[in-house]
Amino acid sequence: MKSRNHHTFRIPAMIALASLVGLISALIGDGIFDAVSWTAFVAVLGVILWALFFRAPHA
Amino acid sequence: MRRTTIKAWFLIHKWSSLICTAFLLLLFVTGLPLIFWEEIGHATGATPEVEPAPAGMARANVDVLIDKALAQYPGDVPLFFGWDDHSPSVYVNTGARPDTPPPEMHTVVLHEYTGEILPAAQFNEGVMFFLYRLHTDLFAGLAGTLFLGAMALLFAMAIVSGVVLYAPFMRKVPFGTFRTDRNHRLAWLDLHNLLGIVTVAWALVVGITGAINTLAGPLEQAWQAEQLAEFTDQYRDAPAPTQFSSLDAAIEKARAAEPAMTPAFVSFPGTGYSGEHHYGVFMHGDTPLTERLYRPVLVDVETGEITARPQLPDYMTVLLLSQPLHFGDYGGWPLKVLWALLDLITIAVLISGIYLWTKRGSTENRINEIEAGGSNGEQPSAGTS
Repeated sequence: MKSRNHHTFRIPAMIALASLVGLISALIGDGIFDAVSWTAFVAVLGVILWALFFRAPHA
Repeated sequence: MRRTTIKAWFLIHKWSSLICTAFLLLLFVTGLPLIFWEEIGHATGATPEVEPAPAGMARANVDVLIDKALAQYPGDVPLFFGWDDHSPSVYVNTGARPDTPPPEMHTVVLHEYTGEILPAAQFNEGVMFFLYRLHTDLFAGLAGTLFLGAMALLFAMAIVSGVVLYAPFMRKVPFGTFRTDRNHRLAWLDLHNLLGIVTVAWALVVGITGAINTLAGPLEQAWQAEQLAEFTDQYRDAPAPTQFSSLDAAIEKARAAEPAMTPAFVSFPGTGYSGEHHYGVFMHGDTPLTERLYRPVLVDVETGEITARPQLPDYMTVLLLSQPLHFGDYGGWPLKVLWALLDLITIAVLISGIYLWTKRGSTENRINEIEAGGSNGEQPSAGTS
């Protein structure tokens, strides 16, 4: 059961981590730190586009 | 996960969501334009375009600026004086009494160098302030603010219980599953799970920092009562000051005392920020992080001398850092656009949640659905994931 949960939350955990990087980076500085934030959130939102429009149909 | 455990979390998710959803919709809808308050102000002319400082000209004397502002509102007293970080302009808040609340304040915006009065709209009038009141206190003052804080905590509870339920539901279903070929309910359920799990960290941070922000008033009062009282204790029995020394000179002393920082704003005595006998010159740094972490320099209004430079207590630091993480105003316009998209997705999570509730059937069926990953109890064949 534990390993299954681990599997279920592997991608969500990576997304949450990217979100936290996005939230914190722009707070630390401007310039490159802002760009890291934007990239992180674009990646997070990209996951939704991928799942809704590009993911191979579930058999 | 045991069936009774799933049922308990399902009921937590259902009821915490049901209670807060209508208010969360209001918050996320009104919050959307508030993200762009600054840009909307420039686009509508409510915020003046400020000419750069003429070459070689020194800053105007702050005392003169204050007098100019007061001449606009005869009978008012000065409350706050502050600097715009993005243009050479300053603002003066005035009001009938030192403790005038923000909705009743008057504001004059002036050029920091030429001293010219700039044509700025009052911050506490118009559509944006109306939305701000809906978003922050429902026009009900502190009670309204604390109520919205409670709704934000229920939102956090709904998010956490949603994540817990994600585990049994997704046990047999691969990440990102979106099934549109069976029935409407399943498509909405997959969408609810997908949008919810992808935005979970952002939504949790915005929700919790929003709840913290609802405590701003009480926390500032606590800070005033506990810490500032220490520094202004010797003035306890002193009558209210009648002589006001130069604020311009006080600001220069504060600049000299904190050379690595710049002044953000000044509070006048009686406003709740610096006791009854001091100017509070609030200095700040210049990074997105340090520009929120103020260092107050307290200047005795009668003698014009600095009497204290207290550290902000931790709870004020937490409050001040909660503000950008809630507003999304610290990473330029691209971050604001991303904030708006995440806001819209959260609205979709709320609406899909309402749809799922209207098509709910019995609780037992819902538990079956969660246990089976939405496949109505049929055993998925090997290799589906």
